[in-house]
Amino acid sequence: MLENLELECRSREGEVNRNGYDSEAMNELIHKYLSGETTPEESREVETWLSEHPEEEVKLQEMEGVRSALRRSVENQPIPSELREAVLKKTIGSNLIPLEKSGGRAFRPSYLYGAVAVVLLLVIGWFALQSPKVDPSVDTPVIAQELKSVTEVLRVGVNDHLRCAVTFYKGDIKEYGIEKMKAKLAQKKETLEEDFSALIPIVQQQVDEGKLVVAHKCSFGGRNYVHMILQSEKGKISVVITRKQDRESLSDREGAVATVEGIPIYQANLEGYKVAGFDADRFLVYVASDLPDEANLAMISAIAMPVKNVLKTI
Amino acid sequence: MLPHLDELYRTAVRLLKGNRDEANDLVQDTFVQAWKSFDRYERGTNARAWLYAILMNKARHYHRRITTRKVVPLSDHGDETLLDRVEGSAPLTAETISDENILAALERLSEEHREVVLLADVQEFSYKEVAEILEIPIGTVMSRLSRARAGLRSHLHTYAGEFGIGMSKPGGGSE
Repeated sequence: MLENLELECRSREGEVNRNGYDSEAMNELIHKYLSGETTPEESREVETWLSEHPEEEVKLQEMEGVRSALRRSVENQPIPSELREAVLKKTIGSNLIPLEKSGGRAFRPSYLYGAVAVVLLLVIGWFALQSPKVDPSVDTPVIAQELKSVTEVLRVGVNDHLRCAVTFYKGDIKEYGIEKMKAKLAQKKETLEEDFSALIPIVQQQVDEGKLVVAHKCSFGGRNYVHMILQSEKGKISVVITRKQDRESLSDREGAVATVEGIPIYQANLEGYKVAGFDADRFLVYVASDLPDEANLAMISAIAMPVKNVLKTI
Repeated sequence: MLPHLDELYRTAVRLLKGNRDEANDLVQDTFVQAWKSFDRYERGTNARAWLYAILMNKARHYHRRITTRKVVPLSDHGDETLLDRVEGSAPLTAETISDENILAALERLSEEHREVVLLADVQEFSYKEVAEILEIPIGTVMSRLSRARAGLRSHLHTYAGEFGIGMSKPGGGSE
């Protein structure tokens, strides 16, 4: 019986983890993890596996780097100036409009062009105003796409907390020291080239909970973060800052849990962590932690205005 | 306002291996097709994914036309042969990978792998959306994506070996 059980738990490569994933299944799971498609339970499984397999951790980091470089290089491509106009001409172009059926006349009176333009605008407008049918976070109609949901925007912050503070720095973190932290935040990093070291004293002075042990710039899922980690008795607390990307905003959205000196703060429980965030012009600022809701909110409230002021100058 | 025009163009350029003229035509055709078949668009569904489905479908025709014209054979298994060459190279990071190298690596992928990696990793569609856009099972999306990523990584390591890129410190962590 014991023999059978053991046989069941062994893959062809001879390696399985405690939940029965063989190398191939784990490889699949790691790709899902990289795509953000894993459940919280699967994420934990991957993280445990990675902690036991440092070579896989390196591979994952490389794949993240490749993804990030790919996205950057595609987004760097210039758009031909005439493309928009060409598309408009072809779509407004009368040979595509059902008005063709009016006897095949070559001449079209100008009011028809006006009517066509109105129809086009109505269609585009209607297109833009579609509301999602099934899943608001997945089905992204045009205007709704202008802004990601608050949850999606908050997820950006919790992702870095999970990936870096929780997974990469396991257990207690050895303190960087103030000079190293300043140097790390002054370092140039793709899309976050600026010097963010002025944030260090703010986080040190404004936050009662925990001690600032790490400040650096890190990358995950194709974007860069300024990341400060505080260590407290209740676990790690991350202050995360990232440059806004398309359709990301936390200004004037519904569901703010507090307003601090005019700054609306949003908060959610995601992946088992509390994450609060606010919008600071070109940046998004988050606090993610294991703290209770009120404590997490108190922390972000304490830093909101001074951090926003510093980011304005960057 | 033309929704998603820029991102569709950028995707088209990469699908067509940097051929900007063809990509320009492809995007125009995509919008014309969307305009003509607008009555078939299901209200409330994912408009962005719908446009991409049209783009991908048309891109396959374009790709066939271009490859036929240039008589360039395309191997479906071309990416797999490189999977084992990665070990031993220095780790790659986004900072050490140039646009030129990553785009060259992308061009070396098969059409099917390129499609999936552009949709999932660049345009950040979910597996489910990619499956719907390309009309393939989710399992196929996953396997193609995994191979495409491995292929990119492998090609980049090859470049790193040849040209000395990607020489960051080994095991460099998340910084």
